[in-house]
Amino acid sequence: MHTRPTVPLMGLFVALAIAGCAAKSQDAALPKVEEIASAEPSPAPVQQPVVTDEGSNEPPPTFEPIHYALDSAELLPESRRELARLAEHLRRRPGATVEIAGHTCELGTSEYNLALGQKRAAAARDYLVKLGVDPERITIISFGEERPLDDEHTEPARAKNRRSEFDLHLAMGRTR
Amino acid sequence: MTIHTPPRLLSAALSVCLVLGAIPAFAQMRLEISGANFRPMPLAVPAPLTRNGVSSAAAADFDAAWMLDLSASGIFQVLDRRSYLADASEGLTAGSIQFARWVDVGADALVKVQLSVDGDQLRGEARLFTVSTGREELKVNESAPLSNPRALAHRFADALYRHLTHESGPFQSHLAFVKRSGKDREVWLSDWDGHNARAIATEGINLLPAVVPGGEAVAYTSYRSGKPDLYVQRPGGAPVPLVRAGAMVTGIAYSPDGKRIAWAQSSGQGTQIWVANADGSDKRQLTDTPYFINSSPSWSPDGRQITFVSDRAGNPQIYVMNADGTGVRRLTFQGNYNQTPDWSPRGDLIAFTARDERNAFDVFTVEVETSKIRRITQDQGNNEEPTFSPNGRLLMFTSTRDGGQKLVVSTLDGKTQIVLPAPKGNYATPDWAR
Repeated sequence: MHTRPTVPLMGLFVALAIAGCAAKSQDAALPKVEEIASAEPSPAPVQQPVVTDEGSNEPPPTFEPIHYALDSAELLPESRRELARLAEHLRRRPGATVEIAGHTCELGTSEYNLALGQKRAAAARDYLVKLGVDPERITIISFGEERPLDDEHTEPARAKNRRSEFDLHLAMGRTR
Repeated sequence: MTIHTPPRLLSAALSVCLVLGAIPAFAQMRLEISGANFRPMPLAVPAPLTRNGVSSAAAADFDAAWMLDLSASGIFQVLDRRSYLADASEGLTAGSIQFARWVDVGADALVKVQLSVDGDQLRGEARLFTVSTGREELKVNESAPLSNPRALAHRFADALYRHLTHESGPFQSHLAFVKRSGKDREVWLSDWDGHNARAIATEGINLLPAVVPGGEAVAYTSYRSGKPDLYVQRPGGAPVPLVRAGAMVTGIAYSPDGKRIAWAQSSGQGTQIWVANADGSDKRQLTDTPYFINSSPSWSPDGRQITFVSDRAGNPQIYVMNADGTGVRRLTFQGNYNQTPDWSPRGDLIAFTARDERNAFDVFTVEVETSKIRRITQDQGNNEEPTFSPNGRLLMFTSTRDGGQKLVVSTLDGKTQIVLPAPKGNYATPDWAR
């Protein structure tokens, strides 16, 4: 796997502003988020106008980790909403890519949790693809139970640790 | 060293028929590990005698390993030294031993050791006696580097084990494990008991080690390239890539003859079992259940079957299939969370981790032929990731019973469970070398 430089979000924004209109032509090819989202039971319709915001001074949004029930890779309604926001963001920034890292809590075995983390990250990816994001722009990785956010052996800590995180990248060579 | 006896008696797996005492004097002392009457042999193990230049530190090192091996073996009930009645001056040979005093403390057998120094070697002589008759059953002379007195103890323990059971002992074998150290996940290779640990990979995330059969190398999963792939490495050597793919690759298992490997490789939301030659050539995908997890492969002793965990029925259960991927058969039907199967080198049992109805994680075994389940641990923290000893008579697994996550060695009936004394830390995924 090749590694891409991680650009802080402000830097990402500036870099995209420089990349400028090169990305615009791709925009029309992407389906609108709300068309797909409305077919799903949960995501709220996304009301933003379909324009890229490169060139504006609006700071890019941040994306919170999405969480899961124990032993499950099923997307919760709030997770679908967050993924819809992310899809919209990716649609406005055609040069951006995202790495999704799936994690589990400490319960269960190390080996199975690697596969479960993978399932969680892949489920998030599949949903983004359903929302029209090019799968080529998404990479996934699982850390199983090896990278907890909270080391406490309590249920609140475990709930926090059952998550997928989103890491946005600017792929310099892929802005087209 | 802590010796645990579970509060509840679990059904006996390792049963020991004693064939000594009321038998003709010419008969050999013999422990037959079969049948239903569990009775480990009451054994007296006085502290080693020392001669010319054996330091007290060397004697103590020897003795710690000696007592651990004999206590963990499952075939002995090592009697408490504080109860011994014999004179401190008692020697090594039958003529100098007052056997009546050993009868009085309840011993059926007595094992004596004398240590001496010869250059850079620690020499030892061990003698095993039947207490009721005073008969000398076994005399063993061994030596080990003076720098490693524990090695001498392991040799004696294996000699004793083989003499009494006619099976090989597990005490000169190796162990690979993960030590969780801050954010790092380190792979180590050690003696069977966690001592003499040598670092394999200590930076970043290194997981799920497997000792390469017949070798000193360890194969493991590492994130060193940014995503999990398989590597093989000797202590002090460099990591050699073994299996890499565009997807996540984890959890290598060697066939017992060392010629084949199996691992888990992600594909979409699912994870599938793959096999290849030991050098990574001729890769083949064995399972094909998109969206479902198949992982933790472990080979049968004849290399013709593989056990693995799969959630294809809705939750993780233990399965068995032929090594070509045909003939998949579900083995566990109890509970909804059964993982990390490890196939016994004797072939009869598969050990696994289960979450029970109270959300505790415990170690169980399942009989391959009958699917009969046996519980090994209960009410002692979370117990996970069992691995069989090379002779199939013991299990090692992780446990939180003493705080932290430590390694525990247990007999197959769960009656003798010992937390391995080891440096502080959290230990995970032990692999007992075959």
